[in-house]
Amino acid sequence: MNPTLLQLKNVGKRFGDHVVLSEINLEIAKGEVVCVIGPSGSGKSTLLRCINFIAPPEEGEVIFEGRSWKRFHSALNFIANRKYEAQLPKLRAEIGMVFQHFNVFPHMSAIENVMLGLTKVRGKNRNEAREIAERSLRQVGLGDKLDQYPEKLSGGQKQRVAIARALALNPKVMLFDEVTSALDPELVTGILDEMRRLASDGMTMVVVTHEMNFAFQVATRIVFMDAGRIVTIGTPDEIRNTTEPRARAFLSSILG
Amino acid sequence: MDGYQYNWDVVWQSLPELRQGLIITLQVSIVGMALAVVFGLLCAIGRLSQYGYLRKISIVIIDFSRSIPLFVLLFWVYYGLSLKFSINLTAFQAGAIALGITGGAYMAEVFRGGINAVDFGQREAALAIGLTQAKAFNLVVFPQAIRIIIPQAVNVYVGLLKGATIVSVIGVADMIYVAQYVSLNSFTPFEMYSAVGVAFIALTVSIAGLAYLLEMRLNRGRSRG
Amino acid sequence: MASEQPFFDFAPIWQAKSLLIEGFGIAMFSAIAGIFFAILLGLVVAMMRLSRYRVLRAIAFIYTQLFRGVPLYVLVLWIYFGLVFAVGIDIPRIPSGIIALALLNSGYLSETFRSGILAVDKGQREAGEALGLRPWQVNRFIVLPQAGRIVVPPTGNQFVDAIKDSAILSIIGVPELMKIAQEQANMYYRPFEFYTVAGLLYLVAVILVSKGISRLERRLARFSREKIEASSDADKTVSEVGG
Repeated sequence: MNPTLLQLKNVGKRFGDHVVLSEINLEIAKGEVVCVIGPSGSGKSTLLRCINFIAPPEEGEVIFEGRSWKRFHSALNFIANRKYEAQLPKLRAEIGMVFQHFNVFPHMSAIENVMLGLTKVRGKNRNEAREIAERSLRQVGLGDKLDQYPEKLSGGQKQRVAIARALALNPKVMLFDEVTSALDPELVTGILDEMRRLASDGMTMVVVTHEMNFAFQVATRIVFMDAGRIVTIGTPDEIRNTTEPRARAFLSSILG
Repeated sequence: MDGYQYNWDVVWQSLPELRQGLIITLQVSIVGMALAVVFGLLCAIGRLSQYGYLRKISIVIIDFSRSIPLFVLLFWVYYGLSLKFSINLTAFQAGAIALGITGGAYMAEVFRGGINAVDFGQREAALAIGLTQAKAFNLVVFPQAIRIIIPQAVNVYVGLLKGATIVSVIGVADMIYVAQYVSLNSFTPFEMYSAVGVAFIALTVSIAGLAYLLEMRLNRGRSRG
Repeated sequence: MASEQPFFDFAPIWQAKSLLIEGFGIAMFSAIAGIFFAILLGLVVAMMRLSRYRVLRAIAFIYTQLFRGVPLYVLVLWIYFGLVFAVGIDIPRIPSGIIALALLNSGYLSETFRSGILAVDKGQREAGEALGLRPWQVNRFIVLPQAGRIVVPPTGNQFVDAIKDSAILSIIGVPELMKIAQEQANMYYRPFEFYTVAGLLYLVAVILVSKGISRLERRLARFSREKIEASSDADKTVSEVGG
């Protein structure tokens, strides 16, 4: 098996008294496609946000390429907080993320959306960034929409911009957060095909999804979550034949 | 009832003084607005801070500034503070400070509202590509928030402009001051105050109209990213 | 200046306490009366703005522009000093102040009411008409109760503004809190103390009223619970607040 790229150790997150995630342990090898399934509100999206510390976990650690990341917050030491926060972009820049509601920047054209990370995070000059961004957008089939603003794009096209924006930074792992849930049905297949292509190119991916067919076809492993915990993990075959009652109930309610 | 002779000539004759007074009103309100923007921005930053106690302090400051009538603030600053701490403020300065405090509280809420109105996913997406907090705010959140902030800031300014009329009470020679002075000498309060009222209505309505047009323009083609 | 004087000289405040309380009462009375008439006027003007007659709409539009554009200070002077000379009607101080507050606030409230009425789903009116209700019945039993819920918070804010604005009535000699504070401050030569106390009294009134409004708002919000729940996504809400 490939070496471990990403590891979650005992990760927990709560908001006030409400526990969102607890005791999450997961190891992801390079090139793996891990699909996370489970009922809504089970903490799937929060799990993704803990990986790139957009919602930092209160407990446990995330180990990415051998470096451990833990939450740090001091009530008084502003400087220490700043120093710590200044580190986080290094982690995030290596991890691409695509969101359910696209979150493309409406005040920037498609190509500017993609260039932003290249110029401001990777420090590339504009010409170089433009070239990379153009290539990236062409790859997702938007070569003719470079200078369009998001308002003129369909949901599927916006999501492609978001994918190109993440891929342009050449991330080591991609996080997908229910990326087809907000799309009109006829646009879903196109985005899923885009993700299949990435998977076959060897990209390491963590995919939160309700698209069971996609999960069973593409995943190397499937994680079933409920109530903030990982209930079971296994290959698609193992999950399909699982005897774990909650996973069974969930799958039969979805697959019928 | 029928004995009153309208004397609109007085208004025309005192037009230069009235104009001079209007310029002073505008000056007080503009300086006040500048103070309000700075004060409001500081309060909004505190209000949105990740530190609980900064948030609490800001809320208290905003509530205080917003709940005390401008009129009381004006007297408190001009007579109260200056006597207590022997600071010699001019009436103009006191007026601008009082307007700055009141307007600052409103501006704090305008800034906060504008920033909060930007979909949270925008910040998440900006952080996810590795931007620092500051860059995520400057490059992604603020450019979107400013479209919401500007029209509302103009409305706050209109409020301050109307509020600025009371500085004549402490002796700033603004338009009302002129109107009072002239009407006392010529017994024409109806004409003078009508003129001043019409001038203000024209001014505020046209500024508010501009704000509306600006809002339409800024909103054009706004849709969820 | 008197250096032996304490930083905050409470004695004169205590001596003037009954006057201050009385002034506070008059301030509240003016604000309440002003907002009461403003609501009545505002409703009429809102109905006019929604009328099918163009003339009524135009009059109502000019009315709102006038009273939203004029500074209260000018309006008060105009009513109390201006009208006496020109029209010969001598309105006493307190009624003058209340009229000014009512006119000014009615301009804002009519806009609030209008948008509240427009915010009620059109289907509601259609459903009422389909039941065979008369137009006034549709308004009375279907549209206005729903619009009422929408306009409570902005009307409350208007009331808060009226409380603060009532301080301006001191310029025509209404013996409300600010006027009393001015007189006493001059008498005792303690402006800092008296204006601080006056400010704090307004602050207390405004905060109490605001608290009351938000409680009312929360109670009314229960009716539209579905809306709130429908728009929240469990995972997202948590990361929004926590992140």
